Amino acid sequence: MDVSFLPGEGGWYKVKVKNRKTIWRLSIRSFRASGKRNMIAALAIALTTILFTSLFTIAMSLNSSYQTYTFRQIGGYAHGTFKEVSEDQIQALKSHKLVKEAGKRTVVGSISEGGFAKVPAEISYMDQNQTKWSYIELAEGHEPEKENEVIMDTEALKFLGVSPSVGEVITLTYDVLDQAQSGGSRSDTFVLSGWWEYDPVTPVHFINVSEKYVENLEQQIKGQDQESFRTDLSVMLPSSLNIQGTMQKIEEDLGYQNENPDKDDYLGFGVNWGYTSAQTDSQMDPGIIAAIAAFLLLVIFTGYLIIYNIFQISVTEDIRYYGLLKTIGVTPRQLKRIIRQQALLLCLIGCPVGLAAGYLIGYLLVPIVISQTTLNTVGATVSSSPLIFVATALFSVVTVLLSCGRPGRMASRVSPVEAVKYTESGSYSRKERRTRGARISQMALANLGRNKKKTVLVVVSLSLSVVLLAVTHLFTGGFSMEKYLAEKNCADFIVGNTDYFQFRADGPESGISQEDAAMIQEHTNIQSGGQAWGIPGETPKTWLTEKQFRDTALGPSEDELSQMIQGREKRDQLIQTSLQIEGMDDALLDKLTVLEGSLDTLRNPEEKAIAIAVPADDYGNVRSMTSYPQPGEKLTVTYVDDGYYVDSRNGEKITDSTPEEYIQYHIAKSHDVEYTVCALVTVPYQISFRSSLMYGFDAVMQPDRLREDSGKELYSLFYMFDTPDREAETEAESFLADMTGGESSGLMYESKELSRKDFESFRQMFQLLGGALCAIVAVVGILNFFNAILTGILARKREFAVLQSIGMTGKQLKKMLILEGLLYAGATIFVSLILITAAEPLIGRLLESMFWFFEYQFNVAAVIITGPIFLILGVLLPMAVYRSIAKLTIVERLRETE
Amino acid sequence: MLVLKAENLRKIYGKGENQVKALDGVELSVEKGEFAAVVGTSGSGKSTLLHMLGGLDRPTSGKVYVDGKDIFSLKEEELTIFRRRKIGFVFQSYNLVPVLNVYENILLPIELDGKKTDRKFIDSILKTLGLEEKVRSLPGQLSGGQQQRVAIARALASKPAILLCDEPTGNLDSRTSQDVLSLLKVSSQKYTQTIVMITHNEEIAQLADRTIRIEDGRILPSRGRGMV
Repeated sequence: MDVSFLPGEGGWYKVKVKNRKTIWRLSIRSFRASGKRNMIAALAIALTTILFTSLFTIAMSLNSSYQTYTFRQIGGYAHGTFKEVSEDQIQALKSHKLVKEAGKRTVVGSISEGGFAKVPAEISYMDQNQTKWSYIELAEGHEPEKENEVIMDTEALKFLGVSPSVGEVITLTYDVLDQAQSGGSRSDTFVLSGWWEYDPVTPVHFINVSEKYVENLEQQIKGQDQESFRTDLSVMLPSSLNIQGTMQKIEEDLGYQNENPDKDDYLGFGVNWGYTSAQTDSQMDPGIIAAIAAFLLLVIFTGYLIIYNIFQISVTEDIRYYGLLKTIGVTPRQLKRIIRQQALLLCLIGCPVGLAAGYLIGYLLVPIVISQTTLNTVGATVSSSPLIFVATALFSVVTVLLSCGRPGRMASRVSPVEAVKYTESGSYSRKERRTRGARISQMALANLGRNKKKTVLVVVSLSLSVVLLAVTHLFTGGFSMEKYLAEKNCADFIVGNTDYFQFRADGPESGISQEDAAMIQEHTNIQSGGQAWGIPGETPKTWLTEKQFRDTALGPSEDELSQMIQGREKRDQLIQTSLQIEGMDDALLDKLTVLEGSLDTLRNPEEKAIAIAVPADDYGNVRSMTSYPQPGEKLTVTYVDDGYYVDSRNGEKITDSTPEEYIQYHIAKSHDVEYTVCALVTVPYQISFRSSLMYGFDAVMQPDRLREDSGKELYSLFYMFDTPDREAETEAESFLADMTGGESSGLMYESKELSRKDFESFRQMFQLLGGALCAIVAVVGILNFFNAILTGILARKREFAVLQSIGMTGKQLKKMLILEGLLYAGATIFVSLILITAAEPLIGRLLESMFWFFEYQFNVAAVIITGPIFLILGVLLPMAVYRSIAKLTIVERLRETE
Repeated sequence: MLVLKAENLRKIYGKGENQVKALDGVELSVEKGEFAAVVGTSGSGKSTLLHMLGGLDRPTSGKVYVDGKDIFSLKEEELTIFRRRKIGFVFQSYNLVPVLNVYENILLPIELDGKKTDRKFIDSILKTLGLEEKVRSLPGQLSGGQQQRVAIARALASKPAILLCDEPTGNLDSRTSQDVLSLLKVSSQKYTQTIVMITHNEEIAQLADRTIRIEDGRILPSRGRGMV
């Protein structure tokens, strides 16, 4: 029903009018009449929806696959974990409205002997949620219910010499771990109630026991005056955005704090850093947010233009037609409805096609592509949300309404007569016009210049598709294996005692023997190699100012710091701090990054030189360097010859009852050596101690100097070496695999090859999905070109008929059209080249700062791939269209459009 | 009784040097039931005047009263509805909707208004205009003359109080022209319709009650009924 106005007594009154059918008939007939144009428009809508849905689905899949990969490395995908919680706290946390789901885990012990020396096992009880979140998917059996039931992975079973079948009897000998990290060794016999496939990415072997077992064990050890077990509560929050803040809020709501561990209301928590959003939250880098926003804008704008473009090309035709309808008595309101109905019809065709294609690509193709490879073990997941599909459909409808509403608005703004007579008003800024004759090439050029706005719109739309392709390609192609390897491995091989790799090295027994080192040297082709050395026994001390002590401390609270400063031994206001000194052979020194100063004096054993190791994060960012002793300054190192622990309150030797916070190391006998700081360096993680002290910093010295000054026999932490070529690398790899294989060997190694394998499958997935993404964007870009050129020609059929009627030959017309097509292609190539040259370095640098294993390389592959296709289409399309329009005579064509 | 009145009507196209005064202060009154012919050379402003009288185009200044109503004071929506009920148009360029067939084109204004159609009346118009055979044809399949007749049929179909015709017989042969004119006359008498018709055919102008001459956007002083 339409509301209309009728003149009557007392003015105008509203009546309802039955004209819906008429309007609908007009809509559908007009719609049908512009067949080809509608096909193109529907295709444009489909393109935009495909672009959106597949782009977002694949991008989200990549992101979630990356996250899953990280989660597996971490060992779970819960949003965060509240640590060391009591039963009361669990209940309180669970009932908080921001906690959507919770999973409990109680750790009772660990095994790090035998087969578990390389990857340790943790014996714990996990509830159902926690089990699920830890990627434990039982291949057979059920979770432990009876007291003696246990589940574990295939690799753990192998170490224990048990076959993976339910009902097997297993005796586990493990170290009991109460909250004080002690409890002695214990043996119990279990029955295997289930098992799952080992995931080599996980950091530990989970061995899960029943809740009952844990409860009984806890009763027992409490009787032995030990502390209870540590229970953590993992939680799922409403969203993965701002996990830190949400968990903080939950704590505050419940009256806890995570600042001061000494207070009763302390409740610690950890955020799962695998959530990319959590990472970006904590970094809060506006550049990254801007980059994501810019990319989204680029995608949306490209999609918008793909649709808008098509409608703008034939806008004149539409304005005339709508004007005609107006003269006959179609009111603006009715006109709007006709336009709306046609737009919805277009969407009805375009959207389902696009959404279906997007769905096929996202939900069906991606898993198929992944399953063709060995990637499913990496945990590639398809991630998308129906919201994207709904939002895309809505976006398309709105864009179409906006685009085709424009001619309607223009037609209703002017009077019907003006609308009927509407001609494209080109902005002729040129006052004088040189007569250049009517050469075909000039005409083609003039045709593009005739409506500059339209031409610019077409070229921008086409170029943006190319830019989008370039950005997508840049992103997915830039994951650099070499950069990853360089970061993950500073050397080809590092061989050491398992203790070193598990952060437990503290004496000669956890080092690598000189016989082993010699054997490696003998059997492998080494280009350069060297060892790192540690001092056995008590860590040497140095003396820091209070400011240095505070600034270099890693994360303690203010209270803790003050207490620590209070309790430390002092010397002239300087605070005693432990200093881990790593002796490094020359080959290792080459791997250091010098931030300030120079290593020249360090290499000379005659010089009393020391380098300070400054911590850096994954991205190579260094904390403020001013907190550390500067090059040229003197640093006194106190080597401890003898010492013992005392109670800081009375200076007497400690007893079992001395509270931890009052335990202080007292140096009975020591000697000082003064060094000159030669440099501030960063030590690659792989050749560092791999663990740092909470206070102070680490240092690097020449081993001979260190041996002499400390007066102790140093032990070798590890042997690091590089091979000259890939062949030598492969040989060394297999030699080391043999040498360190088996449970008896206390050695293990890290190599580039292992990391390469590690990363390869992940990168493969990235490239496959990224390749699919690029292909889609490229196809969309090419079809967009196809669309734009085709519409451009179809909209000017009458104009061509006029030109031919006054004597332009078919050949000339064809030539003109081809020239126009080539001009469009050329302009697109030119503009996209400029845009890419301008934008790529910016985007590349940004990505490098976002992903440390990303390496930016300028490339114009997007233009090289699409450019020729555009040029070919620029020639072929006009020819094909010309053939189809030439079927009608000039007169027929002239009349057709009247 | 006056049915159509124009007051100081001006229409100026373009600006500055390029200014064209299509209408330059036109004063015009048409009585109810009157048959007026507007004659003038091409570019004299005839079509512009007709468009203004029918509210199809807005004047630069001046007013048009239809049935005493100032039509340009109406909103776009109201004006369109008012126009399609009160005024029938016959355009020089026919203005048929290419996607609708002859019958649908003729009924369109009535249907847009949501009114019931008087089939008998429509059939009689179709018969008079010789379009019975062509009702299912699309405008593109018709000759110029046939399209012209469809346009006339459409204008008559809603029995408007005023008929504004722009060269209605321009594309017709002399016999059909005679038929069309007599149809217009008969219809105007039967329904007391007012007709304003543009023509450059003096013979046709002779048939009118009054001839209005227009030159350079101004109406020339009347030389009286029936005088050449």
